[in-house]
Amino acid sequence: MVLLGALGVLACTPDEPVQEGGLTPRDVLVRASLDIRGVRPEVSELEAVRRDAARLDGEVLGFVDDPRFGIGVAGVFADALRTRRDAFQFDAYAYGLDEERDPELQHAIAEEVPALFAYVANADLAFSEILTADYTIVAPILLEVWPLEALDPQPDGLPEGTVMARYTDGRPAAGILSMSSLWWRHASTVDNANRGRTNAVTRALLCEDYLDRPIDFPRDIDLTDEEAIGTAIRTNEGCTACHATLDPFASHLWGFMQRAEDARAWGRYHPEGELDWKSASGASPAYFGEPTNGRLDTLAVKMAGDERFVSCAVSRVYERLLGRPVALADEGQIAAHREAFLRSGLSLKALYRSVLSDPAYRGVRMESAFGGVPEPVTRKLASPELLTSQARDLSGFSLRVDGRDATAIDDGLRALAGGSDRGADRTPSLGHALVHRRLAEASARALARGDAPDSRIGAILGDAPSERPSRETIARLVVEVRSRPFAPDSGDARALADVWDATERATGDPEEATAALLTALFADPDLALY
Amino acid sequence: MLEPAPLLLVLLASTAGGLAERSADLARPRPSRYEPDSSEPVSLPSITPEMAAGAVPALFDATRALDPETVFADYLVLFAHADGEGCPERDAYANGADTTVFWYSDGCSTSDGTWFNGSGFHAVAETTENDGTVTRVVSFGDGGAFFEIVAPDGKLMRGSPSIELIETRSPDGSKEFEAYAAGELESDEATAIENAWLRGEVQGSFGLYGYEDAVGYRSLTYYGLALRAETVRGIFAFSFSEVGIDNAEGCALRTGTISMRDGAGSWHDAFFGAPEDESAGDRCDACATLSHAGTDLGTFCAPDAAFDGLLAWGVAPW
Repeated sequence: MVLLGALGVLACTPDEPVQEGGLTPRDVLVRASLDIRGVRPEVSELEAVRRDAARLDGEVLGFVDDPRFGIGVAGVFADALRTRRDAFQFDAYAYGLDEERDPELQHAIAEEVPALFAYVANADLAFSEILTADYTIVAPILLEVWPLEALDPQPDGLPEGTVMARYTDGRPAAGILSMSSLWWRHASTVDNANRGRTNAVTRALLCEDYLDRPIDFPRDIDLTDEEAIGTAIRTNEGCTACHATLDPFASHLWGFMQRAEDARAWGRYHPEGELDWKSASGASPAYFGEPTNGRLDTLAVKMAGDERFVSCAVSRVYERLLGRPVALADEGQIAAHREAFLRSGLSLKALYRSVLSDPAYRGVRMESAFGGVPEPVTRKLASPELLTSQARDLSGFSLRVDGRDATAIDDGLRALAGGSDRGADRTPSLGHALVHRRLAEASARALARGDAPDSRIGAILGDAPSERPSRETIARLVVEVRSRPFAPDSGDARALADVWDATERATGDPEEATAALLTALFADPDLALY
Repeated sequence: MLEPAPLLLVLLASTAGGLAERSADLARPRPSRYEPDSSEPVSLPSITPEMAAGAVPALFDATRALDPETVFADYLVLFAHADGEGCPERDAYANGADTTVFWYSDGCSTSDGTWFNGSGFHAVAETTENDGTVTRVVSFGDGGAFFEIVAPDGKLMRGSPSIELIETRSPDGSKEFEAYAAGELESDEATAIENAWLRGEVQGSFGLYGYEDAVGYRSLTYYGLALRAETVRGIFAFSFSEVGIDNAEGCALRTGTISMRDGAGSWHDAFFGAPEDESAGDRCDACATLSHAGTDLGTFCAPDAAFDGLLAWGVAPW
């Protein structure tokens, strides 16, 4: 905490206006750019806000129109649904594909659900589209292995490397609930009867986690007796408290029950199994007490019409942008953002614009019109993915494992950096610092070699430099990387120049010297804390 | 003059504070209602009694077309390509005519060029009890695990079957049949020509119990059937927990509810059997009441042969 405070003080320069108790306009611009676009602001944007702080809102709120907006939205809900796993049940070999294509296949499965969120966000469709869409958005490799056909024509604005497609096996149209990948991630046994699946989607989309409920577990049940368990689930109050709504919800999901270890069968929907709830749980399909016709698309519409669907989405976006768990004091502001979301017809762009304007997001302590005084956010920790996207934008480099972003999978660096398929840790750790450092070194080395002349830093440095950059160039690099004003004649500029000189003297290699200078820049805490 | 007690002052202060808070709360905006602009999908009936009358016999034809005995025989022909050098790796036991074989391979080719991959199991066993009762058991498939065998002549089989066939013959001439068949299967064109399961036209699972005595009585019950068969009279899928028939003199009992799904996802129920009012007597015809979402769509009668054909087995009802 002391460290974060100290960094905050160091970050302020005397010529910047400071909102009382809040972030500088520059800090707000940096934070919003990283949160929405995953990259640091352009120097021109920094300059525009420095010259006229009144332009801040226009710049920040316009970020949601950037095509990269959808990537961040997808991340929020991918974490909620926990879909971004390294690997799933079957590999490329099981589908008769070349084994070398397995990373591509696993990535495609992990990204099917997030891709729909990204598309809905960028196309500014109503958020309920994620439950009612009669199409999916997939990487082309899934067209080869699952019963999918690409639509013609294809719409604009799809996430990079994806196509819009439709399942052809008779499954109901229910947005993400119709996606095989979701139910691969949340598989069920016949005995579990889709209960775990139910909790996965109610937790993610309704913020209704059955596992959060206190359970007065009955001790007089013979847990080795299947029939006794079944009876208790239907009649024992300790059980019905959850199962009375859990099981009828789960009864909508039997078409995705997989009974064989067969990749082809797992790719398919099984309409013939839709009524298997009769012999399994015996729970007639219903949505939290309201009987339904049992169809998956009906379930999806019920969820989309549930007040919790809206408030949960608002909470998740608010929590992600503020970078901390929601507390009771936040409820008033969440209500305020919910109003903006509703007024817009469930536009994610409108919701994000509302939260980006939130005083607490901008570091200001202020009472909400709806009550409550949220804790302002002074510093946030960059997620592993954000470390990567910044490095890629600045240097053109990203660490990859088997063709996938190293910070996006646990087999790479995600877990070490404090990430998981449930989202990133919010507190600094040694692992996070190590990954940041490694990314900094690797990015710097790529630039020093002249690998990425078209990147933001490459464009300043040019091809592999053989001489020490001038102080003016160093100052431009600092502004680009750290988004801070920086004077060429400052002591810090001299210190960075000294890094180049000392390394060159020690190694006799200008490439090493440039790599050292850039590593010092990329490893700056400004890229990890914002 | 009396001075107010300290406790009273505290109470007054706290009441005043509470009132101030409450009035502030009343002045706050109230959250708007969420009024979703969406309508639920309507589940409309699309299967008519006439369609159902044709679909029921087709369902039984499709179920018989799964023909697990033929599937097993075709598999054995392919498995005979396994060679003695560990392709596939296997644990095999033999005792007279009885055989049990587990096999596993990450992918291997035999000396004749046959490709084995996955995990398989098959067993044939026949036991005779002291009273002369003979039980023959055929098992095929490693609990739904995937396997594939591809011979150099192009014959192949791949899938994830679970098949168990049990036939019990008693000294009194009666026979019992139990079967379970499930899983996905696929074969080459020549092999599949005699089997709809291998052709991919029918997929699903069912259990079966049959009985016959020495004097001609027969009964057959299908249970836990779930069938996807796109070629069955416009019906996309079938499901039922139990449907039974016997040939007792005077009243061939047809019981059970057959559920039929259309392409849009609507299920329709055909209820065979006696009305709930037992005074009406048993229902001995092949007629059923068709309903959708609790709405009666009318009655239909399947051709008698639809049910009677189920009892016309030669060696076994599967």
